[in-house]
Amino acid sequence: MTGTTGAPLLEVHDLRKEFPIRQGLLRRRVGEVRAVDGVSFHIDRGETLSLVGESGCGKTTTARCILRAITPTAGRIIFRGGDGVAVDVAALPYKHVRPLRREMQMVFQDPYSSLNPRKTLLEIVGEPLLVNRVGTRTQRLERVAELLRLVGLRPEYMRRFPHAFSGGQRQRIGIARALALSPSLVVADEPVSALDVSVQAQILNLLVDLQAELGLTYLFVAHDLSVVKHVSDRVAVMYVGRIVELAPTERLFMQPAHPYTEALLAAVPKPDPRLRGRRLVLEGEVADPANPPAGCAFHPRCPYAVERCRSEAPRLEAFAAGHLVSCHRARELGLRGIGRPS
Amino acid sequence: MDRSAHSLGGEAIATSSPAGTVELDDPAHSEVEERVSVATQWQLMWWRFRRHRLAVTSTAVVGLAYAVVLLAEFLAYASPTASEAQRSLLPPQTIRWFNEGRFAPHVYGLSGRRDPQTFRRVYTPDPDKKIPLRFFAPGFEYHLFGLIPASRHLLGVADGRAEESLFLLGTDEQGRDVWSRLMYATRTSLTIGLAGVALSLVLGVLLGGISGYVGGVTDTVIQRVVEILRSIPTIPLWMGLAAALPQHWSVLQVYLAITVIISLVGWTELARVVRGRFLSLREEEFVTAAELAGCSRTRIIVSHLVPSFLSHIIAATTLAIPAMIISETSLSFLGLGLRPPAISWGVLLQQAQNIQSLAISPWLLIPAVPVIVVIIAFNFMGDGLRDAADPYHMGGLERAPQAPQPSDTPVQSPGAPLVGDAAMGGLERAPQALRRSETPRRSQGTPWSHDADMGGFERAARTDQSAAPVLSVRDLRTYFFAEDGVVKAVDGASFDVHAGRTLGIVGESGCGKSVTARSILRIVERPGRIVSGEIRLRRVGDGGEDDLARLDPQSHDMRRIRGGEIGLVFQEPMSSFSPVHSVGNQIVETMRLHLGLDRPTARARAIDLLRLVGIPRPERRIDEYAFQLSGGLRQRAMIATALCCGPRILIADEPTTALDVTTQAQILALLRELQARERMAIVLITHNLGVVAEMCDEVAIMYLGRVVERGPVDAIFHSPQHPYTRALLRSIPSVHARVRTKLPAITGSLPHPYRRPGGCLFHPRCGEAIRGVCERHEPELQSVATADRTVSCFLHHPVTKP
Repeated sequence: MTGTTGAPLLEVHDLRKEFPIRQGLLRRRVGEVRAVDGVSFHIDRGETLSLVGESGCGKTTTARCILRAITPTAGRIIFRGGDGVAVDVAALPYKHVRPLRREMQMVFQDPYSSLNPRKTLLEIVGEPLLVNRVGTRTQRLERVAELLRLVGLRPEYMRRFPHAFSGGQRQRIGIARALALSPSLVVADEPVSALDVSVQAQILNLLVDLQAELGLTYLFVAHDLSVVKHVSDRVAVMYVGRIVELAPTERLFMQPAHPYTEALLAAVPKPDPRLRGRRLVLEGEVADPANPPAGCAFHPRCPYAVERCRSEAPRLEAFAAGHLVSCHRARELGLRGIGRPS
Repeated sequence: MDRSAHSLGGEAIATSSPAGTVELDDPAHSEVEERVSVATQWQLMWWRFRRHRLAVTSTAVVGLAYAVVLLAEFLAYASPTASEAQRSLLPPQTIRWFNEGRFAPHVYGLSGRRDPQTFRRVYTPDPDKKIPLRFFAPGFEYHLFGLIPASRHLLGVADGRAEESLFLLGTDEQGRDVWSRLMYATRTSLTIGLAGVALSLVLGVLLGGISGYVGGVTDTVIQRVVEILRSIPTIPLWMGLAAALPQHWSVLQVYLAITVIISLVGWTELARVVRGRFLSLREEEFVTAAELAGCSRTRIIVSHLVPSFLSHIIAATTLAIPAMIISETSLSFLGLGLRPPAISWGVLLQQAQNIQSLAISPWLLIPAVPVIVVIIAFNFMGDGLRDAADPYHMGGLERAPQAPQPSDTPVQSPGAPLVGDAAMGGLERAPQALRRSETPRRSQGTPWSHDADMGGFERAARTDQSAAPVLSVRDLRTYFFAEDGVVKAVDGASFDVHAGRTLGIVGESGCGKSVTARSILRIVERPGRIVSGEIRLRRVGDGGEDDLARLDPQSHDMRRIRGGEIGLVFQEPMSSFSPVHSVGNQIVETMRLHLGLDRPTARARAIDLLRLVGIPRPERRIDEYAFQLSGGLRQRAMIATALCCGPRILIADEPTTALDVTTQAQILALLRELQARERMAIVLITHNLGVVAEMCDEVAIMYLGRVVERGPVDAIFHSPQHPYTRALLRSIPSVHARVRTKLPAITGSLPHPYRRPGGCLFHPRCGEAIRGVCERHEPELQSVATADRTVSCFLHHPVTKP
């Protein structure tokens, strides 16, 4: 497949990842956790798609499958890199994964454990260049200096070790490392959730600026809907391993079509005391992915559930242009979004 | 590296453009910091080790011991095998340092004769026969380091026949000099330890590494072998193996065989350490990052994994050496290890095996002294190394304690201690101690009773309907006196807490909000203490006040208040519950201690409480353990525990930070409901301004230990007065924002705790700072507009203090 201008950078088809549950002395397989249970979406070049959901919904597993940090159980991950050739990342033998790494990189959540404390900035940011044999020593040095400048750090810092930097600065280092090989796709897994409020905004702005400047495509994994609103073009909401709703950001926030999205939006504490009391508190707990309920996985918590929801699992279907939802009653409900601030 | 390590300087100024136009702070301000910034892990480790005085001293002792190993022949003055029946069992001699007022060390000559009754040889010194001592005296011939022929010894006598006249530590039964033999024995015993450890190290790193990296069946097999080896009692194992050694083997062969035998058991411990490190490191994100960068497996192991645990291995090895030495000594003492003519500590001590020799010639026990000294020194040295090697260890030169960082999902890598562990202590650990050991017994005549209807959460005496606050904190200062300096964690916090209302204490990491809570409860961990200020708690009966800041943290009153009148909810309920007691048991015990209830009543009340906080099927859940509950249920159980004694004030420190949004909404709703029902005062500590807006009536904004603004929640959010409050409110992402809009970020970052700016603490990051004023003077909290609005900023007040 060539001629990539119109084709999405990444297409995910029916991605599945099961983790076996083993028990007993012989470690027999007694079941499995369906962390990702048939996820499909695509990301266009230069856009940001956010994966949103609560802990255990499978958003991080999905991201790691795409990067082949873990191998998916089933499904296709079609990636069209710089040369325009479509590759199925899910089916690649492990030894062919390495060249792909130059095209996809990751920004981690924890700015502390994601940087090796025993290496200098030069070694950390330069490692992708070194192991992929990019340039000479001097060229690599220049590239690292350029990258550090790009993320707002002084190149003179490159001989320092991570311990000399604060959380926000470390996150900048992690971003510089991710950009070293000029990837086309950057997977950012909760990149600001471990940061202080005042630093969070700096990093979000940096990510947005870098995207504009370098034409990056982001897969942004987050649980915080307010953060997501600031960076995404489109948002996919996940619940127990599945995408329940996928829509352009504004539309998802204003006119959610899935009751879970509505509940999530309602649950976000709004930083305005005058908006109090407009709250829909979801009962119960996230379903166990090892033992999901029959029918729609959300039905035990859903205030709108009917008999059909208990028996028949809904499919992710088009609700409006570019707006997919997986709910039997999507058309009849008329759910409430966040509305405009008063 | 230390997750709570803070930058040495500031965060880079917010980048309005990612291009190179950004102005940056230099994070290093001085030469020392510059040095620290570029220090390698080994340098940092050495700097940390150097601060451990005991370890440094012990290293010197170990160094001396190994100097003896190298120079044994030189330090000895008699050949270790030179025996002479005429000199058997000579007691230690006294060195006389002066002769007729001049420094001239000498010993008296001895004459020995056999006691006709006991057949023991009796020696009498002859004061007339003075034998002068010489340094670097000639003596028996030897090869220094096995190479250089020499005959000089540190100590000797003029005629070069020291073995006939010098007996510093006496002689043994065969008339051999104990001092000289001790020198040789040290060599054997200390090298056998090293050789044994080297061998175990190879086995341990290899097998542990394979076990940790390959995993699966290999791991299982190796682990089972380790378990089997470790389950065999060591002494019988050694005995069996030692007994199997052929009698005709030479000293060297036996030595090697013993080394192998000892390390056979020794490697298992190291293999476990290595495997554990491997497993935990594999989970570290930087390993995933390296993999994603395209590193090969070999490179990941060689370049990332091995350097990361090398220092740990060195420390573990150092701790293994003394075990080896003890093994050899015990084996030889039992006659199973080295045998004469070999000389080792164990062989020497073997002579002191029977009571008779102990009674008659106690000096034969002297070789036990170096054994003890060296073992202790090795252990201290190993402890020091281990502490220094831990990259997450606090208290290094470069890092400073900091309050726990708020994170929406807790990120904690394996093996990492809680954030701010050393100085500020993990707030999370406190409640356990609190409940277990400090649960006060509530005196009779409690202000409110527990009766029917859901454990009767009804306060009998609710006299304080008035506007008077239940709790007033005035100018509280809690400092941590760390080795490197003073951290002013709380430096002037003032606020009031009213019955039935919620006060939000808001701020970023290191602003002192958690330490404020700990100060109120008097559970600030050393080296922190309340330096000044008042914490006035209104009494229930007479309306008087107790100043908690003046109470002894361990006093009866304080223990009654803590957990009784003031309840606590922490961020991480998992670590707040004991893993070995069921949740219900912990509530029951607290109620029995605090309220003096009997077990069935307390249990019934606990079930009611669990139902009240919304735990389904409480009759069953009461017997479950914290780890069996989900995060939301655990937090509910934590709230039930905090409520079980009917507190007047509930302090909730980031109660929903570790929870998902839908669960957070549930918990917040629960807190509101309980407050309406119990008319409790709630102090909600959080970094989440959304939670504050939802929950609080009053808000106190803290920055670097100070309350910078205080007021009713609506005023704080709709007409913030302090530039920090304004900037904070602007910088938070909101669901109401336009899609893909940039946030006005606060420039810079929180300063290092040891480098607080002068004047107004916020001035370096403040866009409205008045030059010449804000960096020179400290603003005070003063009221603006109405009495309940206070702000500490020169934009609102003139300078009052120079």
